[in-house]
Amino acid sequence: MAQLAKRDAGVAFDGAASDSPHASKRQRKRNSRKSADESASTSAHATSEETPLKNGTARPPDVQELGPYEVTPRVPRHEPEKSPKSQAKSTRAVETPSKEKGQTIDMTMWEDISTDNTKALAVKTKPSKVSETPSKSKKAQPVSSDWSLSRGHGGTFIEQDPIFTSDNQFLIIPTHSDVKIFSTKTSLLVRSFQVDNKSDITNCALSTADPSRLYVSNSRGLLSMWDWVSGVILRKQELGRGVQQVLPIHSQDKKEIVLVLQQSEGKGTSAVAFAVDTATNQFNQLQVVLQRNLRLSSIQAHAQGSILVASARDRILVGQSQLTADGGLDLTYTWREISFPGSIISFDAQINIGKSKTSRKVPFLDVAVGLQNGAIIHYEDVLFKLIGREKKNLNQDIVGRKLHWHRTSVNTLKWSRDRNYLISGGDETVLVIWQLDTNQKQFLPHLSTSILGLTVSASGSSYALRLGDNSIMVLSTADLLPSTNINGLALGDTQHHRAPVALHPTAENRLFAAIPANPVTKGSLRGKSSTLLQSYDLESDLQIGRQALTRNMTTALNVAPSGQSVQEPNVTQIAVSHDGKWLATVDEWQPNDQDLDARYIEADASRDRGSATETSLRLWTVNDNDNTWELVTRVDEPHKPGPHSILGLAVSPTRLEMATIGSDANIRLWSPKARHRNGVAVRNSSNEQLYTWTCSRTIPCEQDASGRTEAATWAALVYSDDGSVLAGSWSWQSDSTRFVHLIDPRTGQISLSQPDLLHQGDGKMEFSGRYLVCLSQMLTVYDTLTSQVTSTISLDPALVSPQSQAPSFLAVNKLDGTVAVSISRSQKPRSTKVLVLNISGGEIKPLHEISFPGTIRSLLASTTAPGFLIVDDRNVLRSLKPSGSQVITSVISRSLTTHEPEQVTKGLDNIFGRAGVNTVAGTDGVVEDENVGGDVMKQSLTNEDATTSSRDLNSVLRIVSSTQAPSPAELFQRVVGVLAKR
Amino acid sequence: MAAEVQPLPPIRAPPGPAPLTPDQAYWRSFKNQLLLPSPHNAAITSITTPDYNPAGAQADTFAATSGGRVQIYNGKTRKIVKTISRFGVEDTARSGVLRRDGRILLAGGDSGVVQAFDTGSRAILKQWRGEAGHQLPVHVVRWSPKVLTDLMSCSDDRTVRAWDLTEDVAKWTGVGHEDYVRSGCYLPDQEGGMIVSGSYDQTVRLWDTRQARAAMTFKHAAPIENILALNANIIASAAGSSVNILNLAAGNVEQILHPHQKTITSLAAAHSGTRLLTAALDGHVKIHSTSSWQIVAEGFKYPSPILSCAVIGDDRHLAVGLEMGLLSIRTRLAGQEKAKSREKEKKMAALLAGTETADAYERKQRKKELRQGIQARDRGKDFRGEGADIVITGNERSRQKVLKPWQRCLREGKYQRALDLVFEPSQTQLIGKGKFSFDQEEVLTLLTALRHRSALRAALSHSEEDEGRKLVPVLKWCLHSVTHPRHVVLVQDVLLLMLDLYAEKIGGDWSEGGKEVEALLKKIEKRVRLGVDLAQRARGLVGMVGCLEAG
Repeated sequence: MAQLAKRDAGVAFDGAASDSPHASKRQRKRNSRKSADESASTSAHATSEETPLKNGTARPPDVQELGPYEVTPRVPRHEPEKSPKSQAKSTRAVETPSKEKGQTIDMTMWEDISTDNTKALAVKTKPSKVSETPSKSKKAQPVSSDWSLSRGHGGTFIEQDPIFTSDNQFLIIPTHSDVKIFSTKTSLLVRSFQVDNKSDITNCALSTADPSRLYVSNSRGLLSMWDWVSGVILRKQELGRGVQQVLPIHSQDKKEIVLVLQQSEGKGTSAVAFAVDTATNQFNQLQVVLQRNLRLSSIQAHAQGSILVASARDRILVGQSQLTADGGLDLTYTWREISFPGSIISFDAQINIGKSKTSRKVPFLDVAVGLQNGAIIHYEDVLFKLIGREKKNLNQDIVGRKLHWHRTSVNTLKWSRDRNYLISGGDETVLVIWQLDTNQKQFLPHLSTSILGLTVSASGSSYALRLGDNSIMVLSTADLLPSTNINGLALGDTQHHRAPVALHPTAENRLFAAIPANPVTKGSLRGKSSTLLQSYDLESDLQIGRQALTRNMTTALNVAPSGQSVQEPNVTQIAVSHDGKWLATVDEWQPNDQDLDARYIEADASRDRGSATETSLRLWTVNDNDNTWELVTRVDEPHKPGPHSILGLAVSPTRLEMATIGSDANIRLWSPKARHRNGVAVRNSSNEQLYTWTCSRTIPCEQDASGRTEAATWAALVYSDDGSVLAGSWSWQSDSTRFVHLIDPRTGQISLSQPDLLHQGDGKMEFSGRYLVCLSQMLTVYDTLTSQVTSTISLDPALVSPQSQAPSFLAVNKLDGTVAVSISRSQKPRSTKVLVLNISGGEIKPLHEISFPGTIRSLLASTTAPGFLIVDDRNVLRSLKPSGSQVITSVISRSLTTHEPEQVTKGLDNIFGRAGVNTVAGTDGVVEDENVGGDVMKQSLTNEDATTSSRDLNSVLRIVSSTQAPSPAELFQRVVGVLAKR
Repeated sequence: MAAEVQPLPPIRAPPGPAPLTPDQAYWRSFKNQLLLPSPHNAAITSITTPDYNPAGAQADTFAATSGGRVQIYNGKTRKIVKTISRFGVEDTARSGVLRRDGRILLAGGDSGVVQAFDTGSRAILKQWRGEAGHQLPVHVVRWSPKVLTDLMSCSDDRTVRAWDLTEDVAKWTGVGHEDYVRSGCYLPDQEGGMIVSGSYDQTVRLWDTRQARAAMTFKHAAPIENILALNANIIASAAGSSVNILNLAAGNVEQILHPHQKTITSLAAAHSGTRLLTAALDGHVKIHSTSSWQIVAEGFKYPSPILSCAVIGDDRHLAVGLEMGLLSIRTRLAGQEKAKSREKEKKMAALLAGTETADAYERKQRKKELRQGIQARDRGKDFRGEGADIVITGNERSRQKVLKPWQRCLREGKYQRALDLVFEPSQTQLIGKGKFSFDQEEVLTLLTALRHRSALRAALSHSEEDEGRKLVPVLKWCLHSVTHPRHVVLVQDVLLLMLDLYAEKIGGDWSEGGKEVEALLKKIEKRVRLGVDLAQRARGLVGMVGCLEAG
């Protein structure tokens, strides 16, 4: 516990800022528990918050790889006013189902079972109403903190062009939460540091005075200064309002002037200049340089800050000031404007030095502007012309040269370093290089995703492209071949409530995700449907491979003759077989509405139009040579054609079998069949038997479908752990009664149909041993052996459908039987709660709860270790793991080989004794933690009779690259895990 | 990196049940039937091929016996090489068989004589007759597969005898059959010591030539007409209209086949012993698998009862001797010969169709050959040099496939042109598919791609002056495919779009080709109505069946 307190201190701002009753309650509990520790949490918070201020170079709490310890529940702001309401609602929610029950029993023929259940449910729900609502349950059993949320990996890169360091060795690319530094040689992550885990990073800029100094701004108005070489924070400064852009413009004898683009009152934006003393890192606000009632989108500085160019919605502002005689900068700017017919998406300016040699005082400023309609307008010597216009008092606009190739908005536009070329990119996925003198264009086509940002390196030898699939590519300017590729997880927003993500069942840390071509791009014409498969390594945070899963428009014209975008098929489901050798994907294609006009008359219901949807189930086998998937079987229209005709896909955990659940109230089982041609087995070149997948069984559920013409809207399908039972359930729009069918997949018989486990709408089911866990508006645990509902929890109605549009998730870790539930809301304020539960004996015992702002895209159970994986809406991956500092008392005892938490616990007891805990308790800060870890490691190593197989240790210590090394704490845990296995 | 442009993958319909099994296709490839009449139209009683000669020269000839003569044919040219007719005036030749080196022909006769002829000079080398020989007709003589000088004979005098070419008296005589012995052969792989014979006493006997009595006897239900040793263990015997598969090792009957309506007269092995051919008096030749004993191919039908049948050379010819005195030889072409014959056919078709002159055709051919010449010239260009220290490879890119014109138009977004091009008749396709001047696969691929790219409407909206002309091929394709269940969705899309676009024109003024368009539309309507009618009937049937099930 003492350990925990210290960790709290480490991430002080977390707890300090949390004002929710839950958080404080937890805090209090902790405080009471660690009475021995004299540093109470409040004081710990205070000290840690002050440390960076007192000594600027003190270890920053965030740089430290806090690993799994930085959790402490973050509670959304809306929480306080929510909780009383939620309780009131929950009582209602509990009562309604029992009313419904009376009706359903009359209609169904399973009276004996259902009456039993209703009784059981009725008995159960009453206490649960009181004691088992999430908020209440904490009182009953304190949230034990033996679960920890790891620090986020991955994440979406923010809308900023990548930054080359001055020596071209590194790329600085911020995500929303971290600043990441990648090596251009190896494409690997070198360092990443977190500024603040509450707000988003908005901008980064390298200092002009010192190339190792980085300014980072965030949406809450925190401006921080870092030494990116060592990863040390130099200074933090609160600026009050959210910062949009930070721009160092001028430096002179240890004083640097930094321009900060901030939102001012109302709608306007202001640019404020600050002076930064590079020696003492002090910030001084100088003056407001520009204040407009416009939304300035970005600003650039030229000629040591004497010329500023800023863009607003449809105009470019050019500010000019003078350098004083001693090289200082006068901060009084004269602003002149150029306005444009369309809105400006991108612009770049440059000082034409070649011409500037003339004695003229006004510098030759060239500006190129990319507009939303695809035109690029290029102005030469714009400042002179503006001044001229002003002097002559003319009203006419100055004329620029128009370059129009792009069909849609010019996302990015840059001058080359030699000033002869313009480089532009847009949603056409083509990099265009304009040679201005000769009017020639050079193209690099088919980049497969839109170009969002572009940076030319200082030497001009490479371009760094930020692409629409959350990746950065560095191209050499000589041959336009890529030298560096940095790929983040590229999951897009899914209309479907289940993100097409799957974990590899045997390989560790391998994630498969069906991704669209342009997940990051906003409002892009193309590529919102998932057509590609990305395999991603969670450990090293690297993309392993990417391949197409459906036909796509990467190299074909993606605009229809009528001007609308061409629809691509969308992968809605993916699943990997239990041996990791087969992949099943479901994709759907719907023609554009206009194309269907000819087929239907007005009177036709919109439902009929869906029959033009093309759905196919594809089965892929892994090719071991290059780790790609090869298509084996494509099944067109596996269920009755229509939109969303396949609502779920499940794989058997024991056999090679897949099951699809369709909106036509059928479940189909698919299994491989050895391929024969006229009685002869078909083999491939390496003499392996080839297979084809066929439908081995169709299980109709007529009672569900009887008398219905409409298709089901929601369905859930899941296999039990041993593959002997298949649970399926449909939900129709018109009918609120919903059954869960338990089916024997070997015979296709429905052995039991149970009502009222799931509500209408989106519902999830998972098996945990003998228990079927059902999640819809409430969480129900159903014992499949005794056919009884063992417990029910009603969930916060604000976070589950129908009030919340966001999906809820349910995952069961097959290794230790723990259940994770996530519920969230997508309306603002967005928030998510993740609960880890233990349901041994049918009782729901909460193990851990976290909540954070934002929604999540997926919640997956780890396949090789206990714990869960959370993918949030910014593609940040976090793993939720039992950290093993406490004995997990109620783990379902199963005959499984790996039982890490217990082993870890055992190991810790052996190693630490009580003394070990005391030492940890006495230490302060996270750096010490590392030392302690080291000590313990030494101790343990000496204590062991050196019989620990070095192989195991090797496997733990084998790390992809030094930059991918885990945090000391995590490493420590792994080593302990290995030692404990003995 | 820039993604490489891949050609549009062709739309292939899912594979249905194959209309032809490989066996059927294989046996269908025995074509080019040659019908050779025998002298005096005598029935062809026996066709034999020499055994495999592992040591010396292999005979590439075969012998057919009819009436009073044995004719030797060349296995390559199918022409008569020699005719041996030195039999008595009243005598009938039986079972002419060539030795495996092709130099000596052996034949029996109805007079009981067994004669050996030199195939070169046609001189009689040896005659066994009189006291030491058979007294009654000899229907079967066979060379030993192992020893060049050994032979056997089966006679109507109920004996089976083994002879040495140099001796006058039989080495061994098997006595035991109670009726005419009309079939027999050596067992392979037994050093020539085992003989099987089948007799009209309905038994098959296995003889060891070291013993006088039969080693094994199989009793059948009908007289044995023919016998064939498939290997050292398995023997097929034709008794009446059934074939009995005898397993010598197990000593039992493995299988009884009833492939024919009438008496089976001849058995032959093909496809290196994995297929068994049966020929019967009903004029059929049927092909069985020797593993499943099922009929794998229906084989052939002949206009007259078959008396003999043989597969010659490595499944090169199928020779069948008919009762009406015709020898039918069917030949299977393989490899280069096949290509050559196809080329010839194509050329003839082109000339007959009048689309090309002989000259143009020749020129095209020469061009093709020239292209192969270019290949030959480039051969070895990729040699990297054995002793090179550093091999500098260029920026290797896979060569792009040249797109077809319609594919290029599709890529460039010229959808109308692409549709025109894909329906444009081209020479080769005209020849290949007489009825349609376009490639169904290409049309399907293009129309599906247009549908997927929301460009179908653009591709089908033609300008006023040529709309009629351009709609005709599309409508023709629709007419052809509208009843095809696999393409119904696509055809429906195309047709409805066309109706949507040109609804006002129908019955009104069209530019050229308008009449044809309307006629086609009428036809399509008729066909669709028919389909609807059928569907309704099927629906009715389903309802009936449902009623029955419920009742």
